[in-house]
Amino acid sequence: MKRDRSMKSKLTAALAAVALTIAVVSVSFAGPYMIHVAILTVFAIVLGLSHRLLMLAGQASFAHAAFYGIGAYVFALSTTSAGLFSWLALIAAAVACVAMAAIVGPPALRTRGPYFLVVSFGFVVVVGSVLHSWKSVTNGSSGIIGIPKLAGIPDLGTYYWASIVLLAIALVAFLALDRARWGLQLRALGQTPKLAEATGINPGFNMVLAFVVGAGVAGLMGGFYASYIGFVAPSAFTLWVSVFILSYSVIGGANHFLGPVIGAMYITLTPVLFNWSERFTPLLITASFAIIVFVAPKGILSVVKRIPRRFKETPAPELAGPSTDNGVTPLDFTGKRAPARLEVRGLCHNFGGVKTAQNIAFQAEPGEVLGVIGPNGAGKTTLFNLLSGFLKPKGGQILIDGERLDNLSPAAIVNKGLIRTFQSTVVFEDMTVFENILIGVWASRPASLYETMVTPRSWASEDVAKANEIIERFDLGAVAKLSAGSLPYGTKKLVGLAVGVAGDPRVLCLDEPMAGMTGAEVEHMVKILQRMKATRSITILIVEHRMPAVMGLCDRIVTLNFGQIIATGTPAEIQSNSLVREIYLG
Amino acid sequence: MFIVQVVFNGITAGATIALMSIGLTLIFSILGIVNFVHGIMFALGALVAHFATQSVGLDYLSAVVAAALLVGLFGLLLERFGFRRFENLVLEGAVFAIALALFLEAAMWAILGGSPRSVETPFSGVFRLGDLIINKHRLFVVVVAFTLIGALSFFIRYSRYGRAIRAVQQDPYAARLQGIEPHTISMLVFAAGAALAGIAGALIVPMQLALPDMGTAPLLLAFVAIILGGVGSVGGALAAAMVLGMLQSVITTFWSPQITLGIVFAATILILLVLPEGLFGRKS
Repeated sequence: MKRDRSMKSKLTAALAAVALTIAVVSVSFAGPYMIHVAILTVFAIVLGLSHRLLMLAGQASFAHAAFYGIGAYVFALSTTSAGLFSWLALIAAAVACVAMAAIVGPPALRTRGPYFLVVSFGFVVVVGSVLHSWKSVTNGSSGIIGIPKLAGIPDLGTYYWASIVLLAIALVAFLALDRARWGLQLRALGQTPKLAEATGINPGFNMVLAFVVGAGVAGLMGGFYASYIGFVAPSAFTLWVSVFILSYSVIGGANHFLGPVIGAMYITLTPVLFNWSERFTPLLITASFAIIVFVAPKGILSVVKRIPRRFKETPAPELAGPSTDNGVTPLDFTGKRAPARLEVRGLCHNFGGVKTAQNIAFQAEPGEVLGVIGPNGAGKTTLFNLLSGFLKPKGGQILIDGERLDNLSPAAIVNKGLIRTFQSTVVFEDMTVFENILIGVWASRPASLYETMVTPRSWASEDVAKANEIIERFDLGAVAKLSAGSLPYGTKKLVGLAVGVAGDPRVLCLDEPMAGMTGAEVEHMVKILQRMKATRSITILIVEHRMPAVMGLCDRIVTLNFGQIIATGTPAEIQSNSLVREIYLG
Repeated sequence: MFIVQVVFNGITAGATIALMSIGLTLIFSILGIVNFVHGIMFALGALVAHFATQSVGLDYLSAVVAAALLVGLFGLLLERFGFRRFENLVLEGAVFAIALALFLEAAMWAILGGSPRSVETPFSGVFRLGDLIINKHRLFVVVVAFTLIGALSFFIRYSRYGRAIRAVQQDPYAARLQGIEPHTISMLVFAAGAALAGIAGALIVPMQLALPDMGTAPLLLAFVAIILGGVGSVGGALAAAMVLGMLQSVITTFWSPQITLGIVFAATILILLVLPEGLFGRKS
């Protein structure tokens, strides 16, 4: 699989290099207008790439043109009014945008989806309005003229070669981000935010980081732009510029590294290549833009990449067959952390007047398998949401080996060793099974910022080895390369369990691991859980409705009704408890 | 008296924003579409009013009705052949709407050119009450807008289709199980939202020349209104629209109309930083 991948990516890289070289050399002979177009295309590509980072994390921003503009103005002002050396001014432009984004980002990214869209869109309008109105500094709508060129880049020809270097650096840098841990983590956040959080990825921090990095690059490009054109005015950094930057990723496909490259080239080059007259360019470009989005909502590349797959034969994933062993071989992993004791004291929670947890108290000993049962609406899922930090308790404590977990964020709780699975959003659908498991593995091994953002994730051989070990133990080898979303439901749930286990949990909370499974799949799942139990190396909590499975698996069972514990005991005790029989077992 | 004047202008501005934002918020709550085409519908309403009075020879009131019908039909067709595909693809739907809006605006410039078009109102002149001067047409705009908003609220609250709309807002799947066809409802909502935007354009055009980009500012303000009002809430959108209209009137009177958008958005950002779900939004 690895060889397959690297061959493919090498081929892609080689082809891209050849195409680029031809394009680069031929443009340098094509006359000043074409060179100008090529330089602007480079600007567009780099802006698109930097904007895509936050898109990966699932947030679309309209603020990019504002940072582009701030960078341009900082460069213009510091070279003209302040007389700063041009390359220092370029750095100042980037730094100013990083600082601005670091101030605006954390509060702005508390909002999500359409709210963030409007906040970011408001940011462009506000920045535009400041550029217009702060006449003493920005010179209003007439803008600033006479901006010097960057030292050493005096004319169009040298600017062209400089922009080619810039493009090469940007491609390498953004490809590195994509190939590092961070690229996959951002995609995880964008696809299934809850699950990403449950694997220890902090959404707020990562989104702000993506926003700040994108803003810094946009500021740098603003500086380049100002020095290249020699003139800045508010009209160059309007909302519509942001719209086009956003459109690069959408047209090309934000999920693919080359998406914004293709999108930017499409938008900037098509009118020139087809020699559309000035009058019809806006009409044709917007019409084709709308048609592309309509036909391929996930971008051109999402369609192109699907084509070869049709001709490839996919092995039918055959899982959940009878395992060779008889369900007693312990299912263990190398380098496990010790199981922890989970203690819950007086836990309270309510949704308005509905009391979903009333003074809940229980404990699970290290290595114990504890069942949580109760009728629908008893508060089982609320309990799991409280344990994993997705809901904040209104009272009470949650302790793991004596350490408080309540009031920690979901990601911090994962780092302490309590990991949960979900009943319905089980896997990252648009990733391969291997990538799913790898994200799970990272939950137990936090990395430095440098490693997260720069080191290619395939270089972390221990992580890869551990992911492969998990895949082997769970018999997922046949499907490791397939996208998790294409798997049958029961297999998805198995992958979801494997993602949780990959994070080396000390306490593992399984939310209905067998819901919706077929009989054979349930048998397979029960067998796997039996084998995990046999090692006594993870404390396991299970919410489940399949009573035979629960009774067979659990050491003890907690029964909930209307947010209260009505009975705790061994399966035999629970089965003979008259209250439980009346309310739930029937 | 001067204050009353400012307040009245604010109510007029707010009524226009409300007509836009109520349609926007309903469309978003049903289909998950951030409808950037709404500004174009506003401009189309104004243009229909212009051509209906100048070329066809209808009177102004019939022209307003024509704007509602034609733009409403346009909205219905857009839902059926465009936006339906983007159900719950919030980002892709928004981008498609932007692309469509840019295309339609470019098309209007190409076909109509930049020459501004005007419409005469039968309600010219003013009422004088002492020092207070009330423009008759503004009064007409306010009366029509509030009548429509009242009727729509009544419709949504009490009619069979209104209940169906609220059902689909909450849970399209469950609504379908009750025999409601969500796509019929979303076409209806798109048509109604478009018709309201068209009427808003037709109502405004006697006070402002019709140009293809005339809908941009009302669109942006309407977005702010639905965000502040809490997405999906008609009452919230109305309340926020009135606040914005008042703000706009005050800034225009005492400062300059150019910076209205900047100040409104700055205020919105500050509010959202404190209340990420808007002024009247519920925590999800």
